[in-house]
Amino acid sequence: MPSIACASGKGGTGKTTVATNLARIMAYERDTHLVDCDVEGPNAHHFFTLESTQRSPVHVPVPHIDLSHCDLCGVCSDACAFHAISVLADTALVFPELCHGCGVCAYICPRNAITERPRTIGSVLEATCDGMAFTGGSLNPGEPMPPPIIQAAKKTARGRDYIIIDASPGSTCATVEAVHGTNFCLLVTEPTPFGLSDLRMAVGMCRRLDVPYGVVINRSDLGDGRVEDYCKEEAIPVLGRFPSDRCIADVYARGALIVDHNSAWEDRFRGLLMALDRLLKREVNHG
Amino acid sequence: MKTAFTVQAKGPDAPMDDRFGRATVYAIIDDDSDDPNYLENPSLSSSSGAGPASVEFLSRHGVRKVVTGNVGPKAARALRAAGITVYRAQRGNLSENLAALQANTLERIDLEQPGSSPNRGPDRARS
Ligand code: SF4
Ligand code: SF4
Repeated sequence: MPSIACASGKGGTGKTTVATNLARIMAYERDTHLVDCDVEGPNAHHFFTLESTQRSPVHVPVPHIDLSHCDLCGVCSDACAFHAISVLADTALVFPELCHGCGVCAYICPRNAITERPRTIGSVLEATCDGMAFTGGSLNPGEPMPPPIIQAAKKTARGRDYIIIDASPGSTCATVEAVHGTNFCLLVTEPTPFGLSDLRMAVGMCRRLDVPYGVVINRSDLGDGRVEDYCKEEAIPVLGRFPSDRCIADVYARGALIVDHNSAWEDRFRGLLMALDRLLKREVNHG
Repeated sequence: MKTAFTVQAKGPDAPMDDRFGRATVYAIIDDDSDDPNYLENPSLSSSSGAGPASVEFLSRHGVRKVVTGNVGPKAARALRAAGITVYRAQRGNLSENLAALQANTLERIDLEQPGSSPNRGPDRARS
């Protein structure tokens, strides 16, 4: 069951377009699950008609201080690396939005005044659409910690034949969480100087995570040749070169998928899938 | 009663620091003395939670009043719980603001709706 992450060094490169259209092509003949892990700005669901949807909350544990047992010793506050507890002259406060749920405070409190309670930070939506399975994670606004939602979203796809993960743009801890443990990472980039510098960072991330990767160059007819040169020098496979096309933006704005409306694009995505299959096979043989 | 002023350096001429949780120095002055005690901010380099951590720090030093520029929502919640009164600093240095506090001309910051100056959004640390 290969899982393939779609990532990009920055937003707006067409990462979601690649993830959603690739998932659609794949789902024609394979058991496919698309997981939207861009939990701070999920939008993959706009491109599908979702059926039998089911939303479940995602919780993290946060400490609760029982002030009738607390003697305001301050041990918990000193132990918390995130300043999520303030012990003041006559009360103690928890700041849930700073808490990382590590459990140290409850463990260390000498008076057992701390218990953990679940707090909802977002949700995952599970659905099907035209035979494809879909999960979308979303983080509630203002919440600082995407990873628990990403983990919960990825878990719903376990056991599928093919899993496509739309990761957060950038190389943040949310991107790392989404790409971690996948079998391949497609890095969607543009042939511009910014595109190149963000691509370098994304490549660094894949190397650290030990996830094989390849590049899709979007709007490949604009910009310069430096992304191509970089990929050649570093022996990074380029799996697709997609030209800029007004039609893409129009279809995108309508919340539709380009492979459903345009046979040239259907062919391009089939080509991408074939290139991906070859590389995955090579990874399996070498790995 | 002790008052903490957020300042950019030590000394009576030090300019005020607009940031509460990330002020460089806290100048702590007791009502019955003119001699400030300068404390460096221990949470200056922490990536998140500097506001509440500073409230805790000042509260442990017996501070009951604060003169500063902007207070974020988390710091405001901690300041309320600690029973600390907050005044908005004026332009100028530490001694000018001390004089203004003694003359009762500083505006109190409403900790229910702390707000902040328009050019400064709340810090939002990305994990
Ligand atoms: S460690 Fe326990 S007793 Fe001490 S301040 Fe924290 S909650 Fe209260
Ligand atoms: S669980 Fe960890 S991060 Fe949260 S308040 Fe306790 S010590 Fe701090």
